[in-house]
Amino acid sequence: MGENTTQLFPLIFDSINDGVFTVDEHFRITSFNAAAARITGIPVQDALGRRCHEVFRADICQNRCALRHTLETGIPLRDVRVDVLNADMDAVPIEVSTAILRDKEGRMVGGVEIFRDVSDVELLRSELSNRHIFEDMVGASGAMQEIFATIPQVAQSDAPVLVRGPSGTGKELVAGAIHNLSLRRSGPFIRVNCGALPDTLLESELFGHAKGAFTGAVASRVGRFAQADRGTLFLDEIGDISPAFQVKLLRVLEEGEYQPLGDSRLHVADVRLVCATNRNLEKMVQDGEFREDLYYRIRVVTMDIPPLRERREDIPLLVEHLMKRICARIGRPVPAFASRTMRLLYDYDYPGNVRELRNILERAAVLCRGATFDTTCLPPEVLSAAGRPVSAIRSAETPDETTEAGQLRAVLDKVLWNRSRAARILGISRTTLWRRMKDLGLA
Amino acid sequence: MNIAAPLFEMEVAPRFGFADRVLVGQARDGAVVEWSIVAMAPESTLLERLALLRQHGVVVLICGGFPRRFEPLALEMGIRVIAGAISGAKEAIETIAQGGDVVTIGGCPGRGMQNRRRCGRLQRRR
Repeated sequence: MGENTTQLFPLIFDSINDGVFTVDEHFRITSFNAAAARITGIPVQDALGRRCHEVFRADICQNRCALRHTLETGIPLRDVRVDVLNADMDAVPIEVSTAILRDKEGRMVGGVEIFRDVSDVELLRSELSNRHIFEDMVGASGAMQEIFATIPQVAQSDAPVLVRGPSGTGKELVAGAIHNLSLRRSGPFIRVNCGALPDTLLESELFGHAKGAFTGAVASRVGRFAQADRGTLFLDEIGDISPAFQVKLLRVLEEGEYQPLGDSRLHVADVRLVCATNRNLEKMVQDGEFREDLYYRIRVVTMDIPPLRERREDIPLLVEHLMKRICARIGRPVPAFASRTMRLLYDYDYPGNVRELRNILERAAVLCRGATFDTTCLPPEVLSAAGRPVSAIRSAETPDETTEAGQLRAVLDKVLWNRSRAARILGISRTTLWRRMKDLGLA
Repeated sequence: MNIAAPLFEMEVAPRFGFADRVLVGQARDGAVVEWSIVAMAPESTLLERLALLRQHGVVVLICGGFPRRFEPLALEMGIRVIAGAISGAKEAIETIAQGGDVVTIGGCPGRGMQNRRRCGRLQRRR
């Protein structure tokens, strides 16, 4: 390489938009470019000679230092997401990549770290994420975006709405969102699960009863219609009500009046009705199981929520959103997901839809305490759904290149877990390898 | 007066929120008369960590990194934070106990924001 080219190095070094710094074997900074100074807010002359953790104050410095990992294992890392504190003690999200520095003889003389400020990316991601969250519902898919766009319009009227979708898709959330965005939002939102009650109880539940109306009616009781006055009444599993009760409900909807059990007076309730079902009401109408007149009465507006397997693009967003909530509730840090884990979550069919995904994440949050969730955190049904036996998936896990455990496991797999050979490949002692394996739960 | 510094080996840790142990020195008449170590649960929040230090009577916390937005909270809890410290933990505590200045790099929390113009410069902080 010509002398002129070598002289250009400092210029090139400072022209790069990414932060670059090098350290010696004791992690003392030996070079620090202009971008590094800009991102950290620490002037070059102050950074030089300092140990890198003194300058970066990153969340990984103490226990998961990327550069230390590379110097100890010889394995370079790429795009590890880190939070550093700049000179003003404001958190700056960066992505770091590391490599070993060697002299002409190939001896390790230190390491180099390249990092870039991803504040803008994070901001965009956050804005995008907000756009994909609507009244507690999450979805970037076309189907969900359409629902999000429809709800505000639907909410402005008092027309009955029928929300259709399989169990666990969030029909109640849609009903709740309609209520929250309507003029009735200051009124009550009352939910009744019609499928859970037999006719007589359902009638009493919805319309109330007078004292002595039936054996055990020791006091009069206000029904859900009355409770929902000036608000919204959400009738879940409307497809499960009996033909006899369908007649009673139809009468109430047509006349706007209802009669509590054992009460001779007619009561009027100002109620907006939102119904939901996971059954095919049209087919039930054709088969004579559901009254056609009631069907048309409750489905002035229909909204269809697709099953989760038909909007897989929403799964990563849902995982992120639900996990944040779960972790906030149980008071633990939000974990990262290994790429293989996310892949399995993405591929699974979720017969129980979002509810099942939430349960899977709740289970993982309780059982797995690590900072990164690997496939061992997933329940057997998700693992076995991938078409391979659980044990095979676990042993053949694609290593996540950003985790040391993944990298080490990959090397060990190659040499059939012969530690001497693995240590030779990595250029570290067997003792160091053993210690790292132990720390990472690989031994 | 109890003075604390999170530990990274024997140095002041780069981030209080990620340190496993905190060295606490009881200062009296310009000298540290008693030392103790407070263990921090790995997944405890910054608030929990500060509360634990408060239980140990800590009124000054010397650390490498401390998010600026939490400084008012720490002050409300009765803990003054000196961030940006880059020295041995014991030495830093002793220095503050003697009324001296701790060597820092960047960061101004604990001194109020009046010194913002000096942020990012190697300086000595009391």
